[in-house]
Parts: sequence; C-alpha cells; structure tokens
Amino acid sequence: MGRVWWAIAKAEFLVRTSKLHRSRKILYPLVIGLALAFGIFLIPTILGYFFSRAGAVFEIMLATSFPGLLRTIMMVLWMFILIVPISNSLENVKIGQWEILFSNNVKTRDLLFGTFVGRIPVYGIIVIALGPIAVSPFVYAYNVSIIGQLLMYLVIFLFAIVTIWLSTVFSTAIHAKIGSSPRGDDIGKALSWALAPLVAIPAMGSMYWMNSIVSLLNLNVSMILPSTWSADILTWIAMYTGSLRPSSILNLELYWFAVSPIVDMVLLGIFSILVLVLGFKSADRLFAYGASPGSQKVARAGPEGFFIRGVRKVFGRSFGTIVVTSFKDFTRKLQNIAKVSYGLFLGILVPLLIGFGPFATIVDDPVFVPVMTSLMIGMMLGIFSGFIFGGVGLLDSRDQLWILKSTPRGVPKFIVARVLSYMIVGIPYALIPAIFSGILLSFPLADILIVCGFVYSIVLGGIFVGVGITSINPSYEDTSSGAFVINQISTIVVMIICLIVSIIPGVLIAIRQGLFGYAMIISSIPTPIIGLVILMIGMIRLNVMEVA
Amino acid sequence: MSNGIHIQTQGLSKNFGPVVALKDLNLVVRKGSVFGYLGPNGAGKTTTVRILSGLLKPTAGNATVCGYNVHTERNAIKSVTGLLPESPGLYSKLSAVEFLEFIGALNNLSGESLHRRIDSLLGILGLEGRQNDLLESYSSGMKQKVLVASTVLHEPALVFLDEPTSRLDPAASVLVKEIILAMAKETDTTFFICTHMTDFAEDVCEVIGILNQGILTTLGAPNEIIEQMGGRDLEDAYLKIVGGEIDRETLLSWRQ
Repeated sequence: MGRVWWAIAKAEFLVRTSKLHRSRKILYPLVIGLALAFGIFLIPTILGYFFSRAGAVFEIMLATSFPGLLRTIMMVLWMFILIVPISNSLENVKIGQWEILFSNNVKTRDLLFGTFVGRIPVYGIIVIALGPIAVSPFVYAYNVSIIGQLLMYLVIFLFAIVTIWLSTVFSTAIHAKIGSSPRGDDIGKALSWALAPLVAIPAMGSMYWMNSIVSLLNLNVSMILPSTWSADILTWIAMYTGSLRPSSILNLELYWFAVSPIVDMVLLGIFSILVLVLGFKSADRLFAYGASPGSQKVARAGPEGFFIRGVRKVFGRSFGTIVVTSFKDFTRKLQNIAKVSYGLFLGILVPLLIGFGPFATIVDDPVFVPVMTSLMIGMMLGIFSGFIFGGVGLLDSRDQLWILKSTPRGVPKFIVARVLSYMIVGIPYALIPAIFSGILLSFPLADILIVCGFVYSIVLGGIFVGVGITSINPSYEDTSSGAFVINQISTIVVMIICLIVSIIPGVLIAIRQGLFGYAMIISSIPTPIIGLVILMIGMIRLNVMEVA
Repeated sequence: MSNGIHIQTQGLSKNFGPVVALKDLNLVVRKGSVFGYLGPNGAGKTTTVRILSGLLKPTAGNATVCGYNVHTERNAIKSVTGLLPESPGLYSKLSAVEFLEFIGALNNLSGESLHRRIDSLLGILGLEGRQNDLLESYSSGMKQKVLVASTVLHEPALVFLDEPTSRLDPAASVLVKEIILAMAKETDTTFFICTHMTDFAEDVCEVIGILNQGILTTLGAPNEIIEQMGGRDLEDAYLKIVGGEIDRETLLSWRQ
C-alpha cells in the first residue's frame, strides 16, 4: 500500500480535529492526557468511593451480578463507538473528495485503511475515557492483578479497533450508496438522526429496565452479539487473575456462562478477522461510487391535496402561497422528518418511563402523574422543537436571504409564513405524545385535553424561540459553524429559563390547591409569550441586518 | 418619476470595517439601457448592486434608483427592481413552478396571470418538461435559468444581474442575451449587469464601467474603451486597465 494510506490518515485526523486548529499540537496531547486522567484515576476513584460506602452486601452483589451488567455496558459502548462515527460522517456526505484521491491514482484499499487509521486517534479518546467503566468494578470486586488489568485493557483496545474499522466500512458503504447530491446529503442527515435512537434505547434500557434487559440478555439472545463475547472474555480474565475463591469462580461460571472462554475467544477472533478481511475485500465494491438510483432519483412535486389547498384558502392567495411553500420545503426534507420523528420518540418515552420506570410506584396519584407527565413531555418536546424548527432549517444559505431581502417586506412575510407552517407541523408533534400518554396512563378525557393544550403551548414557545434566535444570528446550513453552536446553546438556555418561569407557578398551584387544569393553564402562558418577544426581535434584526 | 434616468449615484461609498469595498462612485444609467459593470474579483461590483437594489446601506454618498432614494425608500426600490444573485439560493425541495410561485407571492403576485407568466417563462427557457421536478435534481445551468425567470417574473423596471451567464452553456447564454436585448428594446427595462465575461459585455452592453479596488476607473461605450486603450478587443482593453498580463516565462517558473 506504500505510504499513501498514511497521507490519507493524516488528512482524516486533521479534518476530525479541525476544531483544535493551530493549537492541535498542544491541545490534542492535552485532551489525551485528560481522557487518561479521567479513565485511569477519576473513574476508579469515584467508583471506589461509592462502592466502599455501599458496604459488604453491595460488594457481594456487585461481584455476582457484574458479569451480566458488563454485557449491557459493553453493548452500549459498542453501539456508541460503532454509531457515533457513522452518524458524524453522515452529517456531511462529501464523496467529491474521492474524485480527487482516485484521480491521483490512490488505491481503494489505501483510502479505506487511511480513513480508518485517521479515525483511531479521535474515537480512541472515547475508549480511553470510558474503558475503565468496564474494568474498575472488577478491579474492586475481584481484586484483579495488574497483569489482569492490562489484559482486560488489551481486549477492550482490540475490540474498539475492530469496531472503528467496522464503522469506517459501514459509513463508507452508506456514503457510496447514497452518493453526493442534494438528495443524498438529505438522506445522509436523516440517517444520522435515525441512528440516534439505536443508541438511546439500550442506554435508556440499561438505566431503567436493567433487570429485565439483563435477564433477557442472559438468555441466548445476547450470545449473538460480539459485545457479549468481549464482555464475557473480560469477566473470564478478571475471574482468573483476581483473588476470588475457587468456589466463587465455580458459582459465577455456572450462573453466567453457557459456553467456555475458548468459545468466546474463537467467536470474537473469527468475527474480527472476518470484519477485517471482508472490509478489505469489499473495498473496491464499496468505493464504486456511481451514486445509487435512490439519491439520483428525480423527485417530482405532485398535485396539491385537500390539506394544502385548505391552507392556501385560509391564508389568502399571496401569503397562502408563502405558507404552503414553507410547509412543503420543510416536510420534503427527510432530515426534518427524521428530527420530528426523533422528538416524537423522546416524547413517547416519557409516559413509558412514568408508567413503567422509577415513577411507577406512585402512578395512582391523580394530580402528580398528569402534572409530571405534562411537564416532562412539555420540557422534552419544547427544548427539542427549538432545535428542529430553529437551527439549520430556517434559511439554507446567505443567497436565500438575499432573495428574500430583494423583495418588498420579504423577510417579515417569510418569517411569519415559516412560523405558521411550523405551527402546523407542531400539532401532530405535540399531540401524539400527549394523547399517547393520556391513554397509556388512563387520564380522564378532560385531563388529556389539558395535557395536549399545555404541550402544544410549550412547543409553540420552542418554535418561536428557535426561529427567533436563528433569525438574530443565522447559521444557514452549516452545523459546524460557531453561529450554529451558539444558537443551540442559547436555545437550550432560553427554553430552560422559559420553562422554569412557566412551571413554577403551575407546580405551586398543583401542590397547594391540587387543581391540575388551572395549574397547567397558568404554566402554558409564559413560554409562548417570551418566545414571541424573541421571535419579534429576531424578525426585526434579520430584516435590518446587513450581510456582506 | 425618474426623468429618463434609472440610476444616479453621487460619491457612493461602502466600507466593511477597515475594508473599502466601494469608493466615491459617481454614475448615471439611463432608462432602457444595458449597463455592463466589469472588474476583477473583490472589486466591489456585488456591493454596488446590493446598495442599488436596497439591500445594503451605503457608508457615504447618495443614490437614487428609479427615482427612489437608497437611504429612505428601500422597499419602493425592491418593488420596482429585480435581482439575480451571484450564486443560486434556491429551495432544493421545491419544484421550479413552486419556487416561482413563491417569488411571485413575495412580490404580491398570484392567480392565473402569475401561472401563465410562469408557464410562459419556463417554456421560453426550455424547462417546460422539468417544471415539476424538484430543484435538487437540476443542473447548475438549469438552476440559473430558474433564477433568471424569478428575476424578471414581476416585470421590474430595472434588473440587476450578477454574473448571469457564468453557469450557462453557450446556447443558454445566447438565450439570456436575447431576453435582455428584447426586454430592453421592447419594454424599456434597464439592465445593470455585473460580469467577468468581456465578450458577453461587448455584445450586449451599451455602456461599460470598469471597477478596480472599489474605484470606477473607466466608463464608456465598449468601442470607445477599446479605442482609448488601444486594445484588440474589450478583453485586451480590460487587461490593460486592471493589469493581469503575464509573460510565459513567469507562467512556467514554478517548474524550476
């Protein structure tokens, strides 16, 4: 392969660490140092402190149950290392760079291997920081020797390397499949959002339904996952290099393991070799980047349905056209649909957590449950709506802003129409989780309606705040810009302040007077009002703003 | 309303912090004429267009566009002018028809007359078969045609075109050239065209201004400028004015 892959790896590393820019030589070792300090000193110290405070009974419980828990931890870590690089790379589908590389006679294997090597120093930081979460409890409970610890870190390192390779192969394949086109870019961004729940589900599961998942995983289902094989190898190493009594080892073996460590090692070895070999073998096919028919398909605008015609009529001919155009522009982007779906997913999780999670024991309280449900769904959807409807969705480019500005009162007309179209999208976004929670938790019809009203008002507030802040400081489509980051942070801060201001009087009424409806009505007023003020400021600022 | 003059500027200047984008521009453009605005990258052409179309406020000086003041009557200027920006700011998820409807609505146009106009423009520009395809599937030349249509859709009295033919193939360039000439002649529409294409400017423009580092250095008819500079054609004259002639020895010096 020569040294070509090294040049590609270097370029990949520079791109991935571009935020460190000129201070890379100082900041990167510093980040590595911090990750090492976090992993080697901080995590063991914190865990050790809590374990020692928990007492001997907990220590015995930890020693017996950690092998099962480790399977879940390794699964979450595996998914994390697998999916985050794919999700990040899908945010920016840029296979145009491949043309430059191939025109310089670069072989496909060099490209794949170089990309993989360039990613290791970046995603390796996650492994350095999080690996000790898997090792430290064993060190504490089984008193694992130094050699044992080193062996465990070696297994984690090798497993992480294979996973990073796998994610590189996957993301390359997906890039090549969806191709470099506006549609491909949209599909990539949508997929990057769709991947997030895949990480969130096991994460939430490990937090709230640990017992059921672990018991489920203890069935043979988990044995098909490479993360389980590596978790079991870690357990085996810990057991045999620690200071456990032979009887305890025997008990653990009987309780947790259906297969011998040799089988786990063979399975993980075969998996790793297969992934590496198949990745290299398939390199030529993966990089055959003749974009797929999916991304190059010519989409056509169909005839307008009853709903769109209705919107046109309601808002009048000219203004109705702007509202309808805005609605079509938003809903035709797959990434927007993926974001709205993700918000819905989070909203629907709330009643599930309340009904079956840690709040399940007080589920009968007639005021607490509806109040808590409304507040949590409102907070979740409200903050998220700021991201969905503000952020990158408002204006695609500076040139779009010029087009709007070149028409009389174009900016105010556009922003009002945009917000109205978002308010339409916000209806199902707010009502589906609200109605779902009402049905799942058996609220009376009146309470369901109140929850719907409250959640929608908070979502409206989120829309106003998101659009307002983005209008004050447009970030266009650039998610890596400083403006985008500042807007996102500002949206969160403003929404949290709005929600606190909104919720406190409502909660006080609910506690003192026990009136759910009144409490929710009071709570639903401040957020949209504050949001409207920010929206007005944003609209005025965007209208008078001079963009060079 | 404008006494036969569509653009008149006096000492028009624009600074972006310490950067002087435009300095002391004095210019008159007559109604129904085609004015070409030439200059190297970063000379201040786009800044001038943005000031004259009511998008930017000048730092100093004054100007009237179609009789309206650039300081106080910017909305009025926008309603009588059309602007074709340098790069396309299209909505990728709208079709050409939907985008033009949107632009029409922003200019308070709607109904049958708007749709007739859209169909007719798309037909003239050769996009009738693709009018309902989403713009994301259009080539850059097709997108430019849609932008040209959006610029003239509301029949502005004055049209600013920033690099109108930069992404077009020769046939489409000729088409745009003919549209400009026909509109200028038949409907008295004024065109203010920023371009790097000297042959295009020479063919289409009656008067040419050459801007260099924010200063208008040359103004006149194309043949006058060529004669004045002793050039073979406008490109030659342009290079003599702004510099840029490099000998072959220098061009190959990187190989040593």
